[in-house]
Amino acid sequence: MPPALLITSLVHSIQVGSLYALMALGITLTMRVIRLPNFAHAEFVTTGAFTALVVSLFLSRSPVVILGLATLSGALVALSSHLLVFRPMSRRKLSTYSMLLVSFAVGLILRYVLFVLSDYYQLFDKRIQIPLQILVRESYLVLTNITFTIVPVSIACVIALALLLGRTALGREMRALASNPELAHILGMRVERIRSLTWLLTGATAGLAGALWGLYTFVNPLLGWLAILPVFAAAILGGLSSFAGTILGAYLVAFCENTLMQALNHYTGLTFSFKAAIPFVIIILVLLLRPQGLTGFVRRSGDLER
Amino acid sequence: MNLAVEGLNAGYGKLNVLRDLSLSFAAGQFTAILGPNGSGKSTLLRSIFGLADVFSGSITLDGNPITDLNGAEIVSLGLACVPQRNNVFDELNVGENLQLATRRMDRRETARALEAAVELFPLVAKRRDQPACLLSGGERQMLAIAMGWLSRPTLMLLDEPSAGLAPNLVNDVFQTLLQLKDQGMTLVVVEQNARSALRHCDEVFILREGRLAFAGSAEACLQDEETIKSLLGTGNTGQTLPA
Amino acid sequence: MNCRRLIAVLLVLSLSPVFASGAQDNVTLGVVMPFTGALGSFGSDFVRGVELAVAQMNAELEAAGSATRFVTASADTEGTPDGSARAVQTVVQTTGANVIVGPLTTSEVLGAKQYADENGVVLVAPASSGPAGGIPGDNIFRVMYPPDTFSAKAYARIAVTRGYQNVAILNLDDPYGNGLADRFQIEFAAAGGGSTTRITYTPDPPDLSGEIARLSADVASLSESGETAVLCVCFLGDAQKALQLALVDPLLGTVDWIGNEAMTAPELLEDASVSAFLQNADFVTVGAYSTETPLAARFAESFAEHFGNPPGPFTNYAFDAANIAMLSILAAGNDGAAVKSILPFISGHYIGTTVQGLLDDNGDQAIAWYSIYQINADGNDFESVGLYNGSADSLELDG
Repeated sequence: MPPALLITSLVHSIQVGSLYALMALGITLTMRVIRLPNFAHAEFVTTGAFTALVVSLFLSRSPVVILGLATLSGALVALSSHLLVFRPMSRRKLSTYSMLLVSFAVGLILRYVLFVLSDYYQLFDKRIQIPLQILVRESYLVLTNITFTIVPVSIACVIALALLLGRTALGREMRALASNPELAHILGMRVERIRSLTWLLTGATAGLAGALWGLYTFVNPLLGWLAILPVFAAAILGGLSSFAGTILGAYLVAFCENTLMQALNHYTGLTFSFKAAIPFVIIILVLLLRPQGLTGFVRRSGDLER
Repeated sequence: MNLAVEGLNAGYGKLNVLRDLSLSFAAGQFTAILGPNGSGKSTLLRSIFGLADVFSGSITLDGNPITDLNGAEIVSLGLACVPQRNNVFDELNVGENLQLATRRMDRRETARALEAAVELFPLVAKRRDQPACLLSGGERQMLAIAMGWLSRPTLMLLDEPSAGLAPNLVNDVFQTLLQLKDQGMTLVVVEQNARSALRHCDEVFILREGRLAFAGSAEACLQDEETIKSLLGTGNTGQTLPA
Repeated sequence: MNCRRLIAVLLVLSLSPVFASGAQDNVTLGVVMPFTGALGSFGSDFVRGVELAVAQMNAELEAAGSATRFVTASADTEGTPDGSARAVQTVVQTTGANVIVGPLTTSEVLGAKQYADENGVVLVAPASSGPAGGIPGDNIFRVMYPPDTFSAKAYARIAVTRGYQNVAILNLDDPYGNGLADRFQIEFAAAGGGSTTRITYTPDPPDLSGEIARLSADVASLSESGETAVLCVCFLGDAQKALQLALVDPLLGTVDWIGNEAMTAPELLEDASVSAFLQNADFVTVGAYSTETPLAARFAESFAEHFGNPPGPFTNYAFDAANIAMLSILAAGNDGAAVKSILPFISGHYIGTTVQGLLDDNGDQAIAWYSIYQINADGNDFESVGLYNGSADSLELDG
């Protein structure tokens, strides 16, 4: 494989992997603490991207403001979905399957609300207004301000989330709730408050990821939905429960989609149309061979599990 | 503090387990709730903590109803509960489990409480950094009781603390419970193991098919061998009772 | 009232307009368009174009004392082939329509083709251009918008005229994208062009980083044997993603770029660095040129009057397609086979908002004019710089 292709594809793997990790962590968090495989996560991501777009068009071009408000919007949408839909629904003691369908419905509604809004306010085919600058250009290696925003912000968020869960009282309570909701209730933990905070956190990371993903690609109402498949593949690689596994999974999926796909194309002539199948293949292989996920074997030793 | 149940009908969904049950727990006493499987012992405990559906009747603490309160509010009134299984957070380590129980204290209080816990539950203290899922049955039970104790309740409900434990460990558990009683805590223990329970408790309630079948002191119960046999079957109590 | 009964009542109520006006002779004109998905706003506007045509026709019929009235029945294709088949089936089975305006894209047309052919339903598609839809003798007529067999020639002529030896193609993996790219490769070779490479991408890609990296590698290897250009056959959103990546590629900024009609969009130029990139790449696009008549302006006026906003691009094509469909029904009766037989004649003699009515043996538009577009001096919009006549294969560039 030509070195140019190898290096570019590796850079892309890292960029895309960081973003997948940020999105997949939210899914793992809701899966563990709320026990919901939340497909509406895709639309929390899209909401963040659209907020970033609208803010950059009409309010401010400062990346901090843009990313900050996108984070906030994701958090608010997630919390409202919880308060208006997920909590009332879960009080009816629905099964996980029913709740999964509920999350699909919430996602669909949000997605088409975004379609209607972007049609009405003519937000289609617009770009988040942060101009691209090339910061490093070394023969094959090109790094832009977007790279230098996406990668550190994603990694910082992933680390912050890991610390929050592992080291703080709130994180401890979230893990406790994930581990045994009934005991959490019996011990008098404020379960509802922890759930709300979990949704806020999930939504915030989704909103931020959406803004960054929008910067990296392009904003449209399908943005989150199109990205959700590789993201779920990453979460499933993490066994839907381990954060370390999820992060590893995210980079692995991104690597397969970029570097491995590039190699397959180069050596076997496989066309890029098959790229969309890669997450499917990963999901099926994991479910067949290692349903407990990549890091399932460390499940019993709590330290790595965080 | 007086916990009372009046005309309680409770169960799960459409299943009615407890039928018109009325009883109350005297302050400072060690009360055992006995009865065969499916007699509604655990359901009674779960109803008190809002984990079962209360269809009618009342559960009051010093005359105030607690049926509509959430877990946090019940705990803040001085009640604690140690469920039968899944009574520790498996995926967290022992230290974290204990910290969760001291959640409502400030830093200095926490330190003091944890120190006291180490004294009361020496087994647990040695294993602070281990995940709770690696504890042995006895250690697990001790940790669960320690967690209930750390919320500084005036009344603690325990669901079969001796379930699945070797006889010497059962004794350890009851010795610990007696220590707690000496501190002035009211204890309510649901037990299958009637022998150990009757040896240590003051008051006994026996449930059968969701109704109260016997209420009285442990001695009264022990003397009434016929009642015991007919109510609890020939299992544990069929053996010679200890002197 | 239980839920199921409520739904039944609602269904009956929704069908009641069909039964309400019993005195008249009502003919249902079906409309299937994407109302949801990426092309949803196109579809909604197209339906309005059809409704306007129907309203005007009914007014004329009433004035003439005719008892015939047209009513529309529409369904959503969801922008997919199977959704399109479902939509056509739904309209036909619930209303008995024999003639349907739509669907929008070539993949939707092909999705509905089997059902239409087998059930004698005539589809009048106003905007499908993929070469794969050009099948003689079937029940599909693709009016107004010329098939891409013509535009592929236009691209080949531009490439050869500009002196490109080789072309690296990036195209959408669907009947439209593949059809255009296939035809381009044939026409480019026939016109004396050199090598071409192809990269296809799935519709609605989450991101295009791998594809663009490969495109760059293709350009690198093609450039060794002569001047190379890039041909993009993309939807606008995908083009935005692709260009964002191409901007930072060391090689893709050094060659010329050719784009399809969807890329003739000022939105692409809003980002100053993309605009600069494309100007530097001597970016040229090809778009269907409407031979507009004065009716086009009147159509736009009544559309805005009726619906409160001006018609979107190509909405007049839906308007014209509806008129051709209704005139065919009036001439031959509401019967699939009869309409199929007479529609090419009616269309060939129809002048509406454009003069493009003549159909070829495939039932496709035979008059094909294309504008050639480049970026204007301000770098914020596209301007026409020439004209390509498909029937004569002649390219005329201004100045």
